[in-house]
Amino acid sequence: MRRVWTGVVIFGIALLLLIGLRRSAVTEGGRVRGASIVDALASDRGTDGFLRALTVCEFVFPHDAGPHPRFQTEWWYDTGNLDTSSGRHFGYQLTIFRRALTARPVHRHVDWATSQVYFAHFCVTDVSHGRFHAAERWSRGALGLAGARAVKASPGATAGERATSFDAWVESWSMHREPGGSHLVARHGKVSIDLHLSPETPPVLEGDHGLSRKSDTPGNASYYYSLPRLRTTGTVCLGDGPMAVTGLSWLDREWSTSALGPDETGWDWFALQLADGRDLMVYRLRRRDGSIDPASCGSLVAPNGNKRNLGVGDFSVVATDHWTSPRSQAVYPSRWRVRVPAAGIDLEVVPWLRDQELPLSFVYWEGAVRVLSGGRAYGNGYVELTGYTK
Amino acid sequence: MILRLLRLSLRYLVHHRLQCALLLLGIALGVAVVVAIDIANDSARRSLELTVESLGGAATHRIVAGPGGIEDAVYRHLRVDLGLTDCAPVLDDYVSCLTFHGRMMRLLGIDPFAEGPFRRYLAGKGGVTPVGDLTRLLTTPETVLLSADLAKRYHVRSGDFLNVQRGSRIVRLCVVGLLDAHDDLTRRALSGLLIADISTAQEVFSQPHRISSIDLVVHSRARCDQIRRELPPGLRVESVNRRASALEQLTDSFESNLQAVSLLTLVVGIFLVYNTVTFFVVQRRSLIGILRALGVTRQQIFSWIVLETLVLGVLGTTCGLLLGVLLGRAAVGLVTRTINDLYFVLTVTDTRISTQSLLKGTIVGLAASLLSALVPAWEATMVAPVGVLRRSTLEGRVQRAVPWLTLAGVGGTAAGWTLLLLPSRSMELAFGGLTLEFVGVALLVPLAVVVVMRPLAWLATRLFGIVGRIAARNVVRSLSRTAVAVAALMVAISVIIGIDVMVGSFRQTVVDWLGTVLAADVYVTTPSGTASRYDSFDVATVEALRRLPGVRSVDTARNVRMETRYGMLFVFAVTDNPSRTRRFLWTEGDVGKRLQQGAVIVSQPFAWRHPVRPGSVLELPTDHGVHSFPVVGVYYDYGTEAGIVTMLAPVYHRWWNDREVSSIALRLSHGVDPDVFAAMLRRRLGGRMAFEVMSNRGLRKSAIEVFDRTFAITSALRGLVTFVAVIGLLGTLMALQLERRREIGTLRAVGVTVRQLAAGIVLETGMLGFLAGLLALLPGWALAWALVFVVNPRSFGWTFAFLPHPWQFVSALLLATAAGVLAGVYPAWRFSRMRPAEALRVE
Repeated sequence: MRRVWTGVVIFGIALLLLIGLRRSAVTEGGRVRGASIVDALASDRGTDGFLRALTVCEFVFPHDAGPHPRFQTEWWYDTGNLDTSSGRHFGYQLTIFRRALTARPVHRHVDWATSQVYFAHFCVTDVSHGRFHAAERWSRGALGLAGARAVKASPGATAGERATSFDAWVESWSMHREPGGSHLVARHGKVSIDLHLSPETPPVLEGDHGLSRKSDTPGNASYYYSLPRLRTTGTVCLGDGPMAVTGLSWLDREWSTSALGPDETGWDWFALQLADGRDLMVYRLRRRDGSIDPASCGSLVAPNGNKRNLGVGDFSVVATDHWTSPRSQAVYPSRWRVRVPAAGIDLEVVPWLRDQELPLSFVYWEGAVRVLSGGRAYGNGYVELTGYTK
Repeated sequence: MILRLLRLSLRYLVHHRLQCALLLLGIALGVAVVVAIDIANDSARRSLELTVESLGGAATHRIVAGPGGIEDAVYRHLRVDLGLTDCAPVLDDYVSCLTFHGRMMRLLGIDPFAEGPFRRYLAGKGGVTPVGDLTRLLTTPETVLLSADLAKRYHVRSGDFLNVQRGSRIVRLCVVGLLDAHDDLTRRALSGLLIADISTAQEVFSQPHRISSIDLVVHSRARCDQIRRELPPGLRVESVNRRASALEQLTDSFESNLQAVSLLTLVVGIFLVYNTVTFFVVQRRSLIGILRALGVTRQQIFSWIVLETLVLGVLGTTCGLLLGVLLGRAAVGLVTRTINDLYFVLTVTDTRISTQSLLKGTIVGLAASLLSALVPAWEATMVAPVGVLRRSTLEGRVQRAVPWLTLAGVGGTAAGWTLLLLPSRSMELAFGGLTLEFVGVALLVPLAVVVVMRPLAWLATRLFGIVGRIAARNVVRSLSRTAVAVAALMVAISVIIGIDVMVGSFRQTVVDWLGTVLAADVYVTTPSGTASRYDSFDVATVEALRRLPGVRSVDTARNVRMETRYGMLFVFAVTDNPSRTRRFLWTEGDVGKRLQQGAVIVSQPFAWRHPVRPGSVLELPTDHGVHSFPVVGVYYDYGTEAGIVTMLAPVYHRWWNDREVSSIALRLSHGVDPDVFAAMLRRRLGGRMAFEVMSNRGLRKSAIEVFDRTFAITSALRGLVTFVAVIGLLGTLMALQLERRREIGTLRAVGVTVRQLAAGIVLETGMLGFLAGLLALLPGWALAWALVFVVNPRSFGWTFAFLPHPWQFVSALLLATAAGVLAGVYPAWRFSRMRPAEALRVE
């Protein structure tokens, strides 16, 4: 609540972002009175001039690991479940978002000028203490305060994500990727992470060879690839000394200009790393009338890296419990039954903590979950729920 | 009984409407003067605080650098490498907003993403609601936010353009949003700001890679030290309070000077109240006598008078408070302008009326009127009824009291001078001394009236015959009334003389000083009038000027404001060795040579505040860390009270990474007329650049204009004092004359013509005025002396020559006489229309 002015600006920008994700009513973060800023920011500042995800494109690395400033929105999304040797379980999220304020790059001769805004969310779920720590940073993509860049791989390096070197950072929170792995660093107050991630599978191109359609309107789509299984080691610190942890992380990379259709209010996204080595990603796009958009889909990646696309009819997600946030009063689903009949998958997905709502400039639920099969632990994952706040 | 008596006074007041009005006016003016000055002072202080706050916001500390500002990579280092979150970059400076009729505005460049903990008025919570296009603020060059109040005042809407002048450039800024303040404090803080994204500020100030400071919120000393260690040399972390106090310290002395004058005004005001109230009571001695004879007790009479005075005092004080607030509003403008000229641009100007000011005025009004009523009331009730009925009893007592009053007067004056001459730096002592001295001199007035009137009576008889003789004798005969009136006018006139002589001496000293300092023929400066860090020329401009035909030589000066351990001061870096052009209080060795070796000289106001002697060193924060500069001289300087450290340009360049130039002095070849050359230069530079080109003569003129503007408030006070005194005298003398109806009737009845009568009255009041003027000459001279040699050095730290001009005394004498004559006109007119029989039918 201290950063109120920042709140004013970012609230506006965040709303723009949210308007991109879902066209429902505006979130009231409790920071601004009235919707005047929202109107001011949202009006006459459309998506004209930005590129859109219209056709299938071949991803070229390292270029596509880096930013795509001609698209309006982009993110680097790392989530993971970690354990200490003594059995403490943690979830973490470090996400860097990029948002372009104008379609054309600005040409000005001063250091601070930019049209790119970066912000980052950093969360740690401390299961044994029942605590969820969430923080955010905002900065302009100028002066080296925040940014993302891909550095061309040295000649002779093999193609693909492994061969790229890449940086994304918002102030002191950073993702640094080099051939062989990546390094995540973030600290907020006493909570910090320092993790090394190395991929166990090649990048998975989601949707149609990386083109992920979010509605039937052409252009309401994103370019989307994942690294679903990243072996993770490092430390988590909650104030009393670093704790060595190991576990699995998941990286999602997505860039788009207008992802959601006008009738869509939000999405439920599941990224589950199963004990049998398979990785399941499914998302449901919720419509205003309560139905599920036919564009909802997913993928199932076998341990050998083979990917199987899942259409809306190939899987089912049923919420079996709900949780009401005491802060936003939003009612989130809080336990699910996820089935992919053709793959013999019938899972229970249970949040490690019920309250993993991010009370930040824009409010959503993103949390570590555990996967049960037949009542037995069958893996971990992350779930993202957007569009539930009124 | 009291009630009945009050009814009596009501009827009396109705019958004597004019006297009543004069009494109220007297009290009101006395109170108004006190309140107005207090409001002006208070508002100026508040403006200063708000201006500082509007810049600093909630920051506890601030990283500052030398004149070149901070490289913005430092900020990146703090944020990215150190992970500091509670810090915000600022790039700010003044621009002159042409759309707002040249008003100076602070262009505050900020990073909206970092602003959270700072500038609360920008915050949404209960503060302001920005309405407008914030995306454009970030992404479009030359866009600003503006307070909704300002926009309304200047009829600007979101989307409109503002023309601002920045140094030599004119920039067009688009208003992309209005900040709507929800509380008073925020509204005031915003009223002098244009808020821009820091990138826009960099463009407007042509500072593509620099910022002026970094605001911090740091609550632990350890953290502060840690940040300090990370900073490159030349950068300092200082607490924001210190910055504010440095500024306050500066204006303190200005305020105390204003206080000195207002104290004198207070003395005049109290005299005025005393004068009118005393007179009001004394006038009714006969009525009191009759009441006593009729059986009204002493206590009843006493409480009646006190109660009546109290009621009138309350009434007069209320009017005075209202009048004071009105006058105060006018004075605020003058005071803030003086502060702007001398010290610091106050972007926030607002009138603040504190209950304290009003309380002060109330106390002055009520206490002075009550005390003034007590003495005559006590006197009137103590005397036997028969005695009261006879005026001569009173006059006899006053005449007998003259030696005692004189003795007290001599004592007061002596004590006053002793206090003034005590070797001390205390302003309070100086004020106390001045007050004592004035009270003492006022007590000497009865004797002076008696003594001076003797030759004057002789002269009047020779000139005007019997009329003159009667007039002159009247003055001495009614000493109980005339002495107080003369004393009040005397005090006022001596204040006028004192201020006139002080300002005149100061002005002449400055004129002489400008003559020695301004040695070149043509000066090129930036126009803003504020010596701020980004107002400057680059080296190319200097070279271009050097190549102009007719230019013999070029000298440059760099003038930067710096916050140091000695408070805020100016550093002057000059190419022209000042050892030749300056007058020194003292020097050490060959100043010219020592300066070349890296020594500095300091101005007299600086040396006053931070005593330096041969061998002293000054520690200044340079871009290469703190460096000790030896001081080799103290020179006279009247340019600024802030204190100046002067060094040679090569020395400055060695320690600061700043090659900019603030002003350029051109010496012209023989036969080139400076005014013609300046006009030519202005034409050539005109349009593209907004430099100010002034010939030596033009610059002197504008310097003197600034000087005169500085003393505008003093002149305004002087005018106020004159006005108060004349009104007071008018009231007293008018009442004195109106009381003499019966006497006038008798005179008319024995054959004195209307014309003679009128001449007699005007002559008498004129003589009183002249008397007051005459008596004021010596105290006036003394006051001027005290202001020049005691008050000014103590408050500003500069000394100047004492240059009284005869005309200042002659004009004061004329003013006093004119006031006296004016006071006689109305009664003269009134009596001349009265029929003798009617005049005699008093009882």
